[in-house]
Amino acid sequence: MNEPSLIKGIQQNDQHAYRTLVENYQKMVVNTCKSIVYNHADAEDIAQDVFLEVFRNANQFRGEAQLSTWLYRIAINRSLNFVRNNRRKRFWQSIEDTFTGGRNNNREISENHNDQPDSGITDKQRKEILHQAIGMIPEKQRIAFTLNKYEDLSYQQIAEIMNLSLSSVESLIHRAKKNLQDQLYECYKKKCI
Amino acid sequence: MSCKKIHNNLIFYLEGELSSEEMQAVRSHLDDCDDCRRFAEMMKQQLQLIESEKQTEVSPYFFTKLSVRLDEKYEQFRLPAQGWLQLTTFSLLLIVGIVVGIYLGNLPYNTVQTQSVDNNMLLMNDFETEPIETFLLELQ
Ligand SMILES: [Zn+2]
Repeated sequence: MNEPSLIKGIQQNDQHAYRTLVENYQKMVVNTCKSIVYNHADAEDIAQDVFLEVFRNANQFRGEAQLSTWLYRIAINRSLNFVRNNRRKRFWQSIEDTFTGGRNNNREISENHNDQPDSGITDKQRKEILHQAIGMIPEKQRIAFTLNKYEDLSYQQIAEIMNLSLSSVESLIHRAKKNLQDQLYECYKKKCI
Repeated sequence: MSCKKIHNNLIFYLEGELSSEEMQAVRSHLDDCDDCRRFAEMMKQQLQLIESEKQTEVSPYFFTKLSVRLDEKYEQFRLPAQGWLQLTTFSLLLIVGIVVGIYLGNLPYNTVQTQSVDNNMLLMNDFETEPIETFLLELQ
């Protein structure tokens, strides 16, 4: 099934077209969500919402962009919303903890692992440090960097998805890498690993 | 090259994005400088982690789960039951608050404001002995 007939099928509520779309793009959508929210179960939940949104709004798809571009955009927006809501929740949780005397669970890139020997650090902890460092990168830079690194997308593809010029994408990714380096250097100085 | 300059360019060195002279300069600095080499090693490991967590398998039930949700009609218009409850309670409280506010705002001024300080003290003492219901009835 080629792209135009796939879209037509979805616009006509054809179950076969639904299934084909999901089978063709589920991996791409789940991966994109996961590269932003860093949790597989959450990524699959968000990916489900992405497809539901596509089915509901299929009539709005004009075919000016590729189907994948559209899916990437929805996946990114929904994942970013999820991360923002999560941050808000964690913010209020930390305030609640302050007043209830509970332990503040906020983890930062800091001396958390100082007391552990070098060999004691697990892959999970390394990943947490990486995710937190990437999480500190400003949003646009982070998305451009993530699409390039996790999705292996070319700068041209990223420019289309983010609706930016090629040079803007180059600049975003360059700054993202610099920021990531700064975050990791802070971490290195504090002997976080 | 100074350590500071190395720190500013290390990620681009690891990504192979520097000119060949710059690559060579960083490489020879890393040969001599323990600190920069350790940082380079750490950052390299972190970048490799991205590769390791790139590909994920999607649950085999992904489409089945999606089909169930597709069948739930009007889902887009649905607010969770708890959401409705909260919204209704809040609206009711707001209306009650406004009505009480308007009522209190319309009370004659002399019942409260023209009392002398002494009388106010008395009034406040009266609060203690007088049940609040009686007080509110008298206001009417
Ligand atoms: Zn050095």
